[in-house]
Amino acid sequence: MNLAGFLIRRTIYMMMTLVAISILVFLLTRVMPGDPAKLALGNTATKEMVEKLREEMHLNDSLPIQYCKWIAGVFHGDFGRSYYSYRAVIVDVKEFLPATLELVVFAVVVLTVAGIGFGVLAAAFKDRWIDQGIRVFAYAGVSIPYFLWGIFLLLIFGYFLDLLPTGGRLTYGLAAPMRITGFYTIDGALTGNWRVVGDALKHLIMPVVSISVGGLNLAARITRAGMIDNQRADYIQVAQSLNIPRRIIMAKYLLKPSVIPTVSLLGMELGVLVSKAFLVELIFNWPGISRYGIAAMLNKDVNAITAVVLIVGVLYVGMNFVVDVAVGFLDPRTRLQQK
Amino acid sequence: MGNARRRETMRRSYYKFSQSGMSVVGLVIVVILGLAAAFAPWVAPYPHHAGLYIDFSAKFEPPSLKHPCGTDGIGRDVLSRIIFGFRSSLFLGIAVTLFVMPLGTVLGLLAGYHTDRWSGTLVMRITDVFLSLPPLVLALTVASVLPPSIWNGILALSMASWPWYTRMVYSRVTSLRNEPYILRAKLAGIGTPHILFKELLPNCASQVITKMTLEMGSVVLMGATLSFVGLGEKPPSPGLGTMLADGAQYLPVQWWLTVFPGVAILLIVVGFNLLGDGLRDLYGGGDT
Repeated sequence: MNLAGFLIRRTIYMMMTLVAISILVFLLTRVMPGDPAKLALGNTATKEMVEKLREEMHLNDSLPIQYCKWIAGVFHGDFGRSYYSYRAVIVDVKEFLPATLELVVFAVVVLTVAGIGFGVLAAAFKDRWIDQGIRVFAYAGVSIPYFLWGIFLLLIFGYFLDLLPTGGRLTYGLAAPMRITGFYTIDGALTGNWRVVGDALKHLIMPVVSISVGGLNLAARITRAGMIDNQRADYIQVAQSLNIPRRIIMAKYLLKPSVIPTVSLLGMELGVLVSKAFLVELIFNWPGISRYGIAAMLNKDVNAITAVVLIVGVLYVGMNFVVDVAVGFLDPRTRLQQK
Repeated sequence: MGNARRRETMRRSYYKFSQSGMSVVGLVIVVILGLAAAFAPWVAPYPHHAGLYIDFSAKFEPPSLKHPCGTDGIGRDVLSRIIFGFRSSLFLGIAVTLFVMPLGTVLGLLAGYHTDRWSGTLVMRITDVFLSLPPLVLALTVASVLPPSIWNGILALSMASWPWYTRMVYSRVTSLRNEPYILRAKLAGIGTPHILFKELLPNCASQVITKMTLEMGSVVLMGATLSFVGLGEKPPSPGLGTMLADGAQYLPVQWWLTVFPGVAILLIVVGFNLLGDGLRDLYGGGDT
């Protein structure tokens, strides 16, 4: 089984899962008791207005037809109209999605680099104080739920020490940079507006730490365990007896196999990152798609809910796919195990 | 004869379990929380504060001897509300687990045993689809399309939790179904229900119990998130998530309104996680 076959198989599976998710999401939101049209128009609506909106929303068609119409719209980028903001949902999504993506991307970087880095450090200095310190931090990180990290960080660094800003993406009064990617950090750097980049980074620190800290510590623990276990392997002994410097052994021969379980774990964490963003965005008043989604859920804004959940599902499946491919690349054994 | 052996196994299991200090700590925490929740009206210093109670003269008092966790905006004692909050959180967790565990396990048993038939494949495909959405998002979505109540909260959390049991039992059963004793039972003409429940199930039991304990923490956390967001039980019933949300707007001055409910949630999660880790060390199961 070569890499190409593995990739193709995984891609097909991902497509099927995406279709199934879209059906599930669609069914979930259409099961809602009450009439979406009446909810949208409010109590003062007349019967004719409600009927007209029902026709417009295709609510009188059978469920499969409704699904087909909705899915066709999605492929054109049309998620329907929000019954709360009266804007096209896609416009809302485009405005809020980059904020969440920025948060998640930074969290992924922190998770991977710091997680594996701490793990390697702890394994290299096993049982010395660096290792002990990292292990204590790891346990605290995993036990304390992420939103408590958020609240505690906010209290300590935001209020009591007044070191970091307490909410939003930029300090009030500072204009957002010209919108190229939607990432304030990248856009700021691209337009040379370094003040904005610094400010955006300062606002990013606490939310990113909150969502990455759990996975980071898990990754560190598993990397450390993996490296310690693999150190006893035969090929490592051979390398040591050939007098290859310790640093090269660690970096070249030990790292790749030890990192495999970590990468699998990171995959699960990545998906969870997106759902962690839900609470963290609320706590830090971050204008992202999760906060928008929660507002939509509270307002029973059906089209917005469907759009947000579908996008989150796609992100989740996409990230799992990326990680599956990465693991397949790193560990030829998994490729061979595919039926 | 069998009874003596069972007692010996239990004694040995408990000894092994108690070797790990952290696991015992977890057990102690869970027991204390359970007792506090069960006997809340007698344990809480001001039990009537958990319901409709207003006393503006005592509002926003910082932690003191009289109110160890302070009071909230209406003068209600935070500690008492937290103890009653344990009650609702644990009730939620237990209700969801009791509903989801049998359902998920039976589905997993069936799917694993009939893995070569279309029914098994169908169940697993449906399970996979539910697993492809992050559980919290799934629970939030279900909760959002239903009117807010504790039962709908339980339903929402159940829909997000059942696939984990099915997937785990399925993988265990598929690895067990070709064992000699199963094949022998099949040859002897023993009916499927007997095989499923008397032969396969006991071999999955330890994994399932471990999973249940570990899942309690996540379920309670998700439940708190649902109420934090506003999609769960309604006030004035004290839920830890609701208390967190209400308190968040008064940060940072009345910090005790968020810190103490937060620590309470932390205690529940840590307690069950430690207990679950201990069980996992004991049984060597839990999850793939």
